[in-house]
Amino acid sequence: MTAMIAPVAVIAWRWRTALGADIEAAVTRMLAGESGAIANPEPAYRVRAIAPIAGAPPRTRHDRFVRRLGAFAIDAATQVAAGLAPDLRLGLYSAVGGLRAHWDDMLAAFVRQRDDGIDAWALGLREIHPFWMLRHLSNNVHALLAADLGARGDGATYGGASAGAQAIAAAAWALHAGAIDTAIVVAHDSLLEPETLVELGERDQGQLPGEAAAALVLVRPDDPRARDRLASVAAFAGAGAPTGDAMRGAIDAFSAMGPIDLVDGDHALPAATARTAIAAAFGEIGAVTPLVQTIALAGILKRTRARVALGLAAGEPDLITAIRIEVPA
Amino acid sequence: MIDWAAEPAATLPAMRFRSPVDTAARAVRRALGLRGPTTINVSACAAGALAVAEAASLVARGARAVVCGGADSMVNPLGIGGMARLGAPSPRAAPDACRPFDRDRDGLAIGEGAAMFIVEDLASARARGARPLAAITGWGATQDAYRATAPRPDGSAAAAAIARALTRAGLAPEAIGYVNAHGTGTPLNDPAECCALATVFGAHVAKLPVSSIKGAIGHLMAAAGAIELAACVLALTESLLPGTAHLRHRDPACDVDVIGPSPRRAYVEHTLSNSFGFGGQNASVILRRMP
Repeated sequence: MTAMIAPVAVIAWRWRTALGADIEAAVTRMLAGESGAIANPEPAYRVRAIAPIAGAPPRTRHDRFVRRLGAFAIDAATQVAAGLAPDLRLGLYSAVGGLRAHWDDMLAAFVRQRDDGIDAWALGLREIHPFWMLRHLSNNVHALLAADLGARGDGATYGGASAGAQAIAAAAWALHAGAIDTAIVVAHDSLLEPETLVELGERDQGQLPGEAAAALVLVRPDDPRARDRLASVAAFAGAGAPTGDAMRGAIDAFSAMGPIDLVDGDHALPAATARTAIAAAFGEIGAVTPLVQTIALAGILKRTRARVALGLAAGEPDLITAIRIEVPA
Repeated sequence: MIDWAAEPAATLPAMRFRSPVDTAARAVRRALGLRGPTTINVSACAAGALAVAEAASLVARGARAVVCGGADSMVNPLGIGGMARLGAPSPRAAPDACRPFDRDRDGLAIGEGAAMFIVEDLASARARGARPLAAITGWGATQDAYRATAPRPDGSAAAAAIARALTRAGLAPEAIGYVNAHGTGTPLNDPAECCALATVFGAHVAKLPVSSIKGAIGHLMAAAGAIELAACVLALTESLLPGTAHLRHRDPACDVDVIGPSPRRAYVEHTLSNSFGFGGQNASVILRRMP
């Protein structure tokens, strides 16, 4: 367990969420009990409420190659990385959901397909946009961001519901190993695509599907820039049922680092698990959850005497994440 | 989002287009009853190599054993069609479609496959009676930060990944006895990779055997780095360096010692495997022969 955990300092952050891009305002709204949920405008789905990011991302030269959430991620990461030197000491770690198909822009090419896949090209695939593969490539946002930001150092793209925690953990270890001096961690995910909404509607467990993008800049704790840190974060990405040993192991490991004042869970956790209002406010946001928890929990901690928070999340299938956030005194 | 209301009766066919990225990881986890941390690397064609490198890093930090590797297939209408539209595959429908380092190369051949490893602390492996096949001694990763669809032509970021792997392994460039190249057989990749090799290895590159197995098995995309590490393991255990299938006329722009179609018998101590992902994610991994 300890092999996965290495705290690092967060020196910048940005997000795009259902409660807006202004972090202070969003935390204030969250603490006031507000939510980014809106009534689902599409009656074909049985999901009653969704938490979308309002509006469209700003236009960029990458518009032909990225989809909406990727554009939000590029926007957030570009802002968070302002002023960072582009070189081999700058790492980039990306997280994409990927457990969901995200084929929403391609379903028109799928609906006439045969079950056996015969004549798939003639039955619709030929109508798909020539750039579809770039748009859907798992590391496309990563590649474009690396070029834009000049991030030539260590890096990787992670997938799945725990990808945000994987990316933070990998960045932390690259920093501690001295492979890089600065890490940008960026994540984007959305549960607001047709197949996921249909599936969630059939389950009818009251989940609030949402979407978000977020970015962090991380440095080593002994880096001079860490003196002005916003928070310290350590992340764990595990597997197993959220009530099982995997989650307990992460909690134990973080508890060993000192007292925990506040715990945030998400809707996928059992009702008995302690939780704050983050998932209710921002919706289920998959791979972005650990990043949004980092920012939101730090925002809560700064308004209280509490110093340390634990953020837990569970995503399908059997992926769990845990992060420990500590704010400066 | 799709205008679902315009297709009120539409349902997706039973044929599944969904591609959960952790399908293989989940299956392995369940089959083996694994309960530890799980990482799902989706760094395009560098994913398999990065997964193994991350496993080695975990073991170096104290993990006892890690199951790692890669699995991928784009041999389906969507994958083949999409890659064709990007112009990456060879346009020729021939068994020798992929010819890495050949002057007449014109693209890759899409493949599919998987390779998995147990990466384990050496003492732990020996204590349970396992026969270690090779040691992972070095790894390095960088990013081209260049273009989404083309490698950096001077290979400088790829060279930095190789250099980092050598540094981690504590090796001089001359210690490497074989390079399993990324060697996609595309017009842009191969000369850029040779530039990277020349940058790192200098004069040694003239007598450094290099080959690509993609001419034989195709490009396994996310699994490529894993299966090419397996080729390096076999090069060490069998003292036989794999050849470069379908190589007839080496491209003068690829001025390295490319092994031809036939394998070359050689005893080497250290191998280097390169995986340079679409979008410019570079990974290099060094293996050492076990005594």
